[in-house]
Amino acid sequence: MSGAFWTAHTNQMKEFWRRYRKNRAAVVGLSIIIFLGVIALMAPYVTPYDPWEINFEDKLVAPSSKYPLGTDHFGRNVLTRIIYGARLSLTIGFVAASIAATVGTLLGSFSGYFGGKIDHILMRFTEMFMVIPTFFLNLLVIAVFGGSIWNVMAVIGMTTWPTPARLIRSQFLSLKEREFVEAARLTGASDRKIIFRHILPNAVGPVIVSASLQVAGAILTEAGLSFLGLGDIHQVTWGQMLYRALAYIRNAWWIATFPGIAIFVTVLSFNLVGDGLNDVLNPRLKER
Amino acid sequence: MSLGRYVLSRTAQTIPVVFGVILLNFTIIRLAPGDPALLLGGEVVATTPEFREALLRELGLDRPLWEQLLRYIVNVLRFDLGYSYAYRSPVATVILERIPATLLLMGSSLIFAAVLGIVLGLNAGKRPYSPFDNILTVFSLTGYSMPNFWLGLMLLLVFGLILGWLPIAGMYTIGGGLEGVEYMLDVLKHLILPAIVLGTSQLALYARLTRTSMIEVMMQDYITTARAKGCHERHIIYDHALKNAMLAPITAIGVNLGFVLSGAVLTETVFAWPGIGRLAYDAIFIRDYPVLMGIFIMATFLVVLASITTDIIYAFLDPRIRYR
Repeated sequence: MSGAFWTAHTNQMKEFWRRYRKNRAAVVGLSIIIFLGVIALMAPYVTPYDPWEINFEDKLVAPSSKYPLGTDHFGRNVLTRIIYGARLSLTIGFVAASIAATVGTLLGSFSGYFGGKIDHILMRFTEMFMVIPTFFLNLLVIAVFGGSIWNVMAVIGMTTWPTPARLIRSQFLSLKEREFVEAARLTGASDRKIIFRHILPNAVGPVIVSASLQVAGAILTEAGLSFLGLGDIHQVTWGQMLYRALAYIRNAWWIATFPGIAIFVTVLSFNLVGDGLNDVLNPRLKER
Repeated sequence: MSLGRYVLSRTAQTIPVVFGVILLNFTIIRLAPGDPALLLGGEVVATTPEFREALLRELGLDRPLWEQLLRYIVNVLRFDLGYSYAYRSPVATVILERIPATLLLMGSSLIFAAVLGIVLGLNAGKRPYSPFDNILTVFSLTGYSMPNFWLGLMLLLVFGLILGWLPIAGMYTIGGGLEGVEYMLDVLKHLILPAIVLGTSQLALYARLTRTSMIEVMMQDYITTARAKGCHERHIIYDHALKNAMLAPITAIGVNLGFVLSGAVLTETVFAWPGIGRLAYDAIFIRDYPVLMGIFIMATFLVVLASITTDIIYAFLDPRIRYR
């Protein structure tokens, strides 16, 4: 890599940040996500307690100086579990959104670039996935194949790819007619090279925006599945913490309240970041 | 294209979706780990090997795969969704019994969300970036960043348990022996919290959509013309702008039905509302796969039906659509 490349790159990043910074809510959202990310990574250093430690003598203890957010029905420390829960809840969000973005990008690129029959078939397939109520498909698949954390991430990813697929396809439809693609073709570049090296880098903007919203959506979906008892009971996630919350809501309001706040703040932050990215990457939409 | 032809072609488009879902269901059960007889027959099957054999034959599981698929498709199209051994009755019957409760809940939440959302969005869109508009933006963001079942838990806690204003579970007071108007009021009281919970994210969506399209409509030439003619501002907003600004949220209602239906599963679980959502929750709990599959197919039918209906209404309201 030459020095010029890095200079250009740094300037681009600076410009990006200059425009992103204008949306103050988006900056707050990003700060919260970074904060949560740090907490998740450093969990064992942030809290001295074990999220799995069961202590029946201290079960359903209200928030106090010993347990700032109280304890659950096994006497487990709610604050500690929220801190550890950030690890998996964020991971689920990122992995599911990455699966969706990857599958969607591949299908959308081929569909938009090759057009014709391939496009027709892939788009019918995409439409099918947009119409069917995917949450029910998630329920069925996880009930049948089990709710391991891998299944949950895979199922969420595999049912949310149509949005990025359609975004990428429409980008490809317009970009493939542009001069630089024609130029690349004249130099004898292969289809693969044109798709991945020339068109795709110019087409990813909307997908990045939608991915940030899909992280939020995946965290919400995991929470919903866990609440219905379809999550991975061997893991600490915020959704999993809410699983038994309804049963104990009469005598332990804190079990339901705090993990929900964690989900809410995180999802809100990703939505704000999505808005901010949208302002930077799709400026035309904002002018309307 | 005439409206009639449009309806026909729009309906034909949904055929692949319906077959796709049937095929998906079939594949999931065949790929499932373990004995398909156990999966479809539930715990009962484990009792005797004879019963298992009989069930295999009855379900046609001893036939070649293509024959099983064909049979499955024919059955679903005849609305035979299999048999639930947990409820000891056909799946279709079990589901149909629960549909009215779900429709009542979804309908109420929809009316709440659409009416309030359009009114709020309209007022925000009239004056973008005014204090009212900013508050609504914050509210919308909050509304769809919240897990709806968690909002349910919180409202249940505050209004049901702490303040004691509203009932927290079920559709009517059990053993209340109420009739007529009193019964209806009782149901209404039980309906308030779940309908608000299910309606909140929709409300956020419709408010935002109406706001955006209101801003767009207000910039159109015909609004400028109306202003130039000296029309009263109120007349412009309610007679010229509103009708056009409402198209976006109305289309969204149909598209959104799938999400609302999934939201209903969670909401009904929180409030023990006796609809298909709660049925799904119970089916998950006892691993009643025929019911889960039936609900998935049923939900798809409902969503497909709703999307056709909205498209037709839209084509009726806006003739430009038909010529695309």
